Amino acid sequence: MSDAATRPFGGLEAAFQAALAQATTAQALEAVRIKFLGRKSEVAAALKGLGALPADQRAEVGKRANQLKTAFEARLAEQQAALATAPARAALDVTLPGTALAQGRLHPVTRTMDAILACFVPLGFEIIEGPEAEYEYYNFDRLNIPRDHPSREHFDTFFLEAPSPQPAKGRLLLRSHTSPVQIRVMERRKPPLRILVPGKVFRPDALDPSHSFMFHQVEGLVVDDRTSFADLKGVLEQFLRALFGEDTQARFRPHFFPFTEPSAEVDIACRVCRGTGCSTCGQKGWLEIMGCGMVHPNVLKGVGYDWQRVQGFAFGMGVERIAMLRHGVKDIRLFFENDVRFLEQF
Amino acid sequence: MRVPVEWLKEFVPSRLAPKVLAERLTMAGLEVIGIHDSPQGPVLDLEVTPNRPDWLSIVGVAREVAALTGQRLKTPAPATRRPAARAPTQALVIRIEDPQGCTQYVGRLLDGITIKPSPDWMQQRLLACGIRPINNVVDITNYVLLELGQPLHAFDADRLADSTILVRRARAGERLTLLDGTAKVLSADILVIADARVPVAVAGVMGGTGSAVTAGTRRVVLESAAFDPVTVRRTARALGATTESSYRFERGIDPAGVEAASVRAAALLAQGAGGQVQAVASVGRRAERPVVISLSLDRMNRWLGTRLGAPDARTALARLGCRVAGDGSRLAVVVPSFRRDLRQEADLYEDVARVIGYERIPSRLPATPPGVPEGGARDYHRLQSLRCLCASLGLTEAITWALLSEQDLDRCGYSLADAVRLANPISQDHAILRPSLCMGLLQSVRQNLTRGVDGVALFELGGVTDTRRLPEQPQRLGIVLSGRWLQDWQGRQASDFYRLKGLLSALTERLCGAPVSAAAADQPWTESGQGAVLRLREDPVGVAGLVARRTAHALDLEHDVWYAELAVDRLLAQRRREVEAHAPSTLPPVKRDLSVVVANSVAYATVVGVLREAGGSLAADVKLIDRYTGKQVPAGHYSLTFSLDYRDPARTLTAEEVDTLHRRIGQALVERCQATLR
Repeated sequence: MSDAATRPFGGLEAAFQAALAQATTAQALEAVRIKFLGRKSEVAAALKGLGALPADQRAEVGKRANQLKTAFEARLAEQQAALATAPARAALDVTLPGTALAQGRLHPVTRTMDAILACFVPLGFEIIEGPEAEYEYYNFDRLNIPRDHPSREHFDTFFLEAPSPQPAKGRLLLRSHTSPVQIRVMERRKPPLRILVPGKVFRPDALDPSHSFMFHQVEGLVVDDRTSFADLKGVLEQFLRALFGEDTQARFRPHFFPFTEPSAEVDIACRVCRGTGCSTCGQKGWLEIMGCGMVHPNVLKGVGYDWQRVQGFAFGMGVERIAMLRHGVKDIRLFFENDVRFLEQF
Repeated sequence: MRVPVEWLKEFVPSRLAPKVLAERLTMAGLEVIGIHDSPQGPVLDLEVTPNRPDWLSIVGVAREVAALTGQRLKTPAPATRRPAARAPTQALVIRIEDPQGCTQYVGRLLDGITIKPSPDWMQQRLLACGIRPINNVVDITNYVLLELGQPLHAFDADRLADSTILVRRARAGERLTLLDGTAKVLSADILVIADARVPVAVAGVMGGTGSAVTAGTRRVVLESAAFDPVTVRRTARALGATTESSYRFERGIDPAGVEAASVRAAALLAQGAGGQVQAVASVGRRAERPVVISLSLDRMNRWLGTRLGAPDARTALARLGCRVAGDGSRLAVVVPSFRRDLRQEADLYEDVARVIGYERIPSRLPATPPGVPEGGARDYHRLQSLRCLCASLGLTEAITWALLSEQDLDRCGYSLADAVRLANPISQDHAILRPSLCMGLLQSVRQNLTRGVDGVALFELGGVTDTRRLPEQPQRLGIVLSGRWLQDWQGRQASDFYRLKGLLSALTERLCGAPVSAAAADQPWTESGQGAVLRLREDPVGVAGLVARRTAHALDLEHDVWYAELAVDRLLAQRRREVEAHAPSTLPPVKRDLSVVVANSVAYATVVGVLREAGGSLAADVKLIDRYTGKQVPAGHYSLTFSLDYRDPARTLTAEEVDTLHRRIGQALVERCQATLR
């Protein structure tokens, strides 16, 4: 004798309600339907077994089973309808932060160097690099900076203890400017030349907010049969406007470099005070940006060029100094501490 | 160089306001770096470039002002061209024994001197120029030095043995106490002024105390001489004594001004100290032939990009004191004796341009030449794309010091014997050229972690120095990871070897089209059993590993620090050329997983090697998706789970084919790796 006969559907309705409440997906709902109305369900079993029941129970059980079946079907349909309109997923908290991604960055000096180079590349300049450990011959002699001359004073230099592999080219040193690469290129090539030389340079300066014994320079050299001081002015003015903005005012001030004649320093109107004088420009109203000039005939002759036939200009600038101006950095040492909280700002 | 404006006006009656004057000078190349107040009124602070020693005097600056304003220069009274008495008398004997070190020596013996303070106006002018007044005789020598740029010296004549002045090299070991009170032992390359017995002054640098003018001095010998710039420079450096005098001699004085300055000082001594010239001795003067430069206007205009005519150039050069002849396309320019820097044609271009004003030279853009001849930019762009690649992988670029300390090298296990040292470091912290990027990057890690940053992932691209390859400096790529990689509310990633290896492989896959492989090999800086050599298609390209605990401790680093360094030239040598692309298969793969348990002595590389070999080309994609050690596997063993994609580019594989192959792979692992299938 089946249970249904003795305890018809006891607790079945409660079980159905509980299962239904748990069923939040169409799949789960179907499982509930199978369990409570399917072929193997209690209700189906009861209806199927009606014939075996005593006649007095038959009508009651049958009626009860049919009631449950109808009620269950109605509730399932309701729930199905509710599920169909309910959102498929719980609402997102879109205010939570996104998944962290590793973000790499280029160093501000690299970025500034690139920005500088990018201004000249469209003018047909090629980028060439040279060694940081250099011979006296390239760093000084061929650049018209004689030994025992006060003009070397501006180029205090680190010398290496290591013996020179080519004694004829003098001692080994850490280059104090990128200019020796000019000589290396001119010695192996003929004009026309338009080159840019980025790189590290070294000078024995104690570290302070505006000095470092290691910094970066970009050097430029143009040699052909016609390039003049007027071209130098035009190219550098265009460069400064490209780098610092169209309204940048520049001035060329006579100066002395052993390897150029005439020589000039280039200033731009102070970006902070616009020329009236402030602490950024040392009350001068102008900021010194770079040095330049027409390549000295002695330099041209030294590499075997005929200075009556070829001429051109050279320029050089400190990358950190320009990066400091562009980004308002007050202390050059920040560039070499590599604090990621500084680097990640760029 | 300090120039009181009122003193300047004695020689050029400029009415320009000091600020305007400063601007004009600055724009002519004589930079005024400041204007100071003094009891004498405004004082210009000038920065004189080493090529222009003629600007190291009031008259020299006045000459420039006159040239810029078109005014006449007044020369200092009395007339500077009084002929010198030629014949040396017995009262004063001068001999130049080293004509290379001293080309001219003028001595004047003055009698009847009364030592007293100089007049107030003179003291004020000296003070405004930064020179301390001493007494009338010394002050006059300094005054004339400032006025004319010719250094002078006064000896007490009664303290010179035999009234004799010898210009000679010191005898090694001779001693001299200088006016600044320092006692020097002289070497044989130092040029001295000596009396008949001993050195009394270091030529062109500083006098000695033994012959100094004192309160009781009655007779002086006034020295005005031309000393060799190189000799003075070496001496001043050797003695560590740079003086107003040596500064001017090093840069070169006006040889025509030696006598003039002596005459000028003698006149002032007569006026201010009662001195009467008793004897004059002048030795070694040879008339210098003036330098004449031929200037081609055409050439100059091509050089400057100007269209200047002969009158423009003539006027500019004449104002600067040149005598100019000719008015056609070629000028003959006679250079004045005080312009030692004008020696060739191009030197004149600058002076013409300066006087005309650089701002009046046009500015124009040259035509861009077609093509780039050598394509040198390639190397730079390759390095630059390597930098960008590193940044795209989540690494931040660092630039660290290329100069290190002994301690830096030692900490990282590098031998000091191979170190390339600076001969003249400014600090022992930065005295050795880096043999590796690791020291600098470790310092950067320390800098960050000690400041509370949770984790860092840095790279640097830069040259390192190898004693054997000098002066070449191979480029290296250093990568360092430490602390937390990424942490957010969904989890975190720690820094470990596999993350480092993953980064390196991503890098080489993108750059060279293949991942790096690693073989265990300890490095000087790695913890034992934690180092590897990295290979790319069998070529060793670098090293990687865990920084040794002793190194980390020395740097106060508590976290593990993972470091790798790659040789950039080797990476670039294997860089991908043109990529030949394949269309991906459109047929779906058959996916199967495979789990095996192997003994710890069997490396992963062995297992995967056998697997790939057995799978052949049909096992197109093999991925390790789990590695497990623990209770589920026997002690001394670990399990690996691979996900395999079977695929034939040309046809669909049948389930039977795949099952057979999959079983064969399992069998191979059992036989050759003593694996157990799970």
